[in-house]
Amino acid sequence: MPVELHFDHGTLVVLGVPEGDARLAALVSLDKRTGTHRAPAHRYRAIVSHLHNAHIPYVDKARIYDRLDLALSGPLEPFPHQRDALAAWRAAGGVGVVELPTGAGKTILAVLAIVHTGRPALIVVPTIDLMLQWQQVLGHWLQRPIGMLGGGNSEAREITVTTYDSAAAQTEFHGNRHGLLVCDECHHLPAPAYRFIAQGCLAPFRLGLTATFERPDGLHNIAAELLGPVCYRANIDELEGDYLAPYEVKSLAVALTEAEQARYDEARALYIDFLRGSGVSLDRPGGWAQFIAVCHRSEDGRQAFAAYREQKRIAFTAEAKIEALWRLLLRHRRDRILVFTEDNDTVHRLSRLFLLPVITHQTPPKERVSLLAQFASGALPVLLTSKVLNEGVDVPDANVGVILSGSGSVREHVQRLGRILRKKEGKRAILYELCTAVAAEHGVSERRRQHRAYQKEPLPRRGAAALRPGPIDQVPSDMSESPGPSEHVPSDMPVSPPRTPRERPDLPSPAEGEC
Amino acid sequence: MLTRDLLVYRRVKGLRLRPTFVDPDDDDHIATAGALIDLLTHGTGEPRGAVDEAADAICGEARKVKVARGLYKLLTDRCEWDDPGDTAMDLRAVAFARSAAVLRDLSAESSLSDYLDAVAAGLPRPLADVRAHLYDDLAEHRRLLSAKLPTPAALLARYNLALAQGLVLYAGSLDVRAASPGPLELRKLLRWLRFSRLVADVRRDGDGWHLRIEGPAAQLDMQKKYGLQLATFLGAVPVLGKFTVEADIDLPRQPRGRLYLDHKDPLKALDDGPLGHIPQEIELGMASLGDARWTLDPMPELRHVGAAGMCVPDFALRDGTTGKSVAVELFHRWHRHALLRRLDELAARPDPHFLVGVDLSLAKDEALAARLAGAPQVFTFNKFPTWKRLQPLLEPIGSLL
Repeated sequence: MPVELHFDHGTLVVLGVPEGDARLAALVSLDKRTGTHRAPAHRYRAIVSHLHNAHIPYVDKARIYDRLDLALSGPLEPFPHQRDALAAWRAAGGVGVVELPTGAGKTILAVLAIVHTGRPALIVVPTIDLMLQWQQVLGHWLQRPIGMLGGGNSEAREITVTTYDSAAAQTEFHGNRHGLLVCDECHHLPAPAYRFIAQGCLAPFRLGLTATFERPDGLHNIAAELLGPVCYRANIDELEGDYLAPYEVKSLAVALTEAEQARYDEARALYIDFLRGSGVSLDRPGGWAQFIAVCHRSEDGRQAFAAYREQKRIAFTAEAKIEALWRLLLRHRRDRILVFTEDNDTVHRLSRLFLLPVITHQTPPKERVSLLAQFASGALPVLLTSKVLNEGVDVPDANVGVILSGSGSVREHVQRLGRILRKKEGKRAILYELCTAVAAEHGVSERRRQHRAYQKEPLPRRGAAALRPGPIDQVPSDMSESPGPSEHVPSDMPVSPPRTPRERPDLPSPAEGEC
Repeated sequence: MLTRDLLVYRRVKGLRLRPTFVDPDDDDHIATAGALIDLLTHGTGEPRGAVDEAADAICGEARKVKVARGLYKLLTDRCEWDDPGDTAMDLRAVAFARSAAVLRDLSAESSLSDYLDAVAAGLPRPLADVRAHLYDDLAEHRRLLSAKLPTPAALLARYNLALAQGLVLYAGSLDVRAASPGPLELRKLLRWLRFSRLVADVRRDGDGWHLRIEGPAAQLDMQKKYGLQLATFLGAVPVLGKFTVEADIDLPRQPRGRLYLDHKDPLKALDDGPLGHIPQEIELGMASLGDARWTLDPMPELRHVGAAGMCVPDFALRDGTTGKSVAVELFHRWHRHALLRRLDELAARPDPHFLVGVDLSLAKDEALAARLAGAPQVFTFNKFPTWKRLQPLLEPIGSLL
């Protein structure tokens, strides 16, 4: 009787395992509950290869897909780095991770891989916006309907795009329908909630795409185990100018108002006192989780945690940032500007203040599509967002980014920079980071700029005048005046008094490179 | 289900976890549940933000605020909120088109006030009004359409089950023990097992049963969690009457604990529908068997078939000398698809102690008849199997037992 392979909710059930087959026995394990042999679905390729090579007759009832006849809809001349990446991936046996900067054309690389593989493909992406974008690109190049799962869409097709959240829920049902698994922004895959996407899928061909593969927690090794190791890598500074727009990064320091500073000082003192008294060190691994746990054990701790959040909120939403943002909007009013914030409340507040469009996870899908299209066409010069546009969404015309607030994540910062780097003739990108001169934001800013994209020599490359992020700039001259409070500022936004940066003996002034 | 922040439980001696069940007869809880139900009963048409705010007030006055919040969460799970429509989106489209046009044409010396004045001049409503209604389609502005509301007593019962389910969400497996369950109750439970896409190691323990419930990938080094499926399954366990449930619970950032539940806890099954029926022949012990060696067992063990199939046989025949059983599963005329699947499963993974009975009306199907003829474990019956039909198959099996 031949060996039979079955797919069972993200696992492979192998019936009729021949006795004495040590290699196969190492790939499966006996499930005493059901009396069958079982393996994670991602071992499908290894199991089938072994059965084939050992001439063991088998019936494959696990996979339910066939080869696809795929061709590109028109001529496509890949960039050298795309061609090299595809060759490296093919040489690795159709598995592995390609690490390319944002804007370097990872989607096109995936299109080439899908056509080369000739199998139904599942593409997993982090956000609904990216899902819509991938659907358009794949539909264009493959000239066939593209399925979507997630964000209210439930149409699965041979080529399907889905979000990580939907894939995590659906893998146990559709993990045997695709021969190629593409994980976009694959640094998300090692998250405990997402690993099963690759573990429970039997696709023998796997491609991971990311701009920032390595994770500070070291879990990228899990992605390498499930998708294959990095097979090709190109850095942002290697492609700048030729394949990415030349860019500059400017950090602008702003001051808190007196009232903000007083509230900030009070909250920070409360938080720092508790932190010191708790004996927790945030520098140690797991320190943050320990701090959270300690905070929730007592009323003092809860107050300290509230104070921690308050001082961060003050730093992130300072009045002066609003004023500085207005100056930047005015300065770049004929450019295409993306404004990033840390949270949805801030972004909605800014939208109400300036009457500028917002994209968050709450934005209805048809409005997202419309806003992105209008931004691309130039009908809308500004888009405000919190995090949903951090990754992957293709906004080739965006040339100015403003980071009003964000986390300390290097990855987030690099991804945000990447939003404005897509190459276009004559384009020069500029990323502003607005930063308050207080410790709560100083550390965050320092942490997130620990990447080679921000640590280049202050010399322009390929003729581009590039300001490098060494010393922090003051607010530019056209922003130096302190405009009086606007009568249009809504009542829920405290009107700022004329501001004079306070002398702070414990902090260097912004001009000295505080931020 | 309840979110983690709404769970109320005690940790006894560091390890043992006990949900803090509410007394369903407690007047205060009944009053709180009644007030929340009343709020939603009369809240139709109200925006979510206003309903939440009113509920906050009720919860704040409750003797156990967390319990009240949990009750409200369970109620809002049963609510339907309106589709916000396109009004706010249309307003945004107008406002953003106007702001884009104004921004582009500003001079470098313009102030924010200049900009806003120019934007306001081209808006269909006053600027303050536009700002106030710009995001009317966010969740807090959506209006209550309808709610399937329980009685206060049913809500409190559901809350108690939700407390236990909320902990089981963090379990990797469940150990369920049932003392002398009825066959229909057991069958119903095992049916839920299949609905929940779980597998079980089922053992008889004297008159009782022990079921270890897990997800298919649980034994492998995989990240898949089955908490939601186990919690769903837990909702069926109270049908057993007398039971105990144990589970290891890994709550985030907390030491591992072990959950203990039993039938003395105020747990009610989610599905209180009919249990079905057992054919009279089985109830009577198939008296017509007329054979001293074989006795009828109306509660055979769960059987795993094929790669991933699971079946609860209709009955088993127990050999008096060895104590071993032969399972019998019956297929009636509406079971064609299930029969084909079972034949495939038995072909892929033979089970010599398993007999398949096929109703004659189903066996008349020509395409099926060919399959049946090639399957040695199959017999046919009319209404109910007779000993005459079973005996020829049992004899060779009996010699192997």
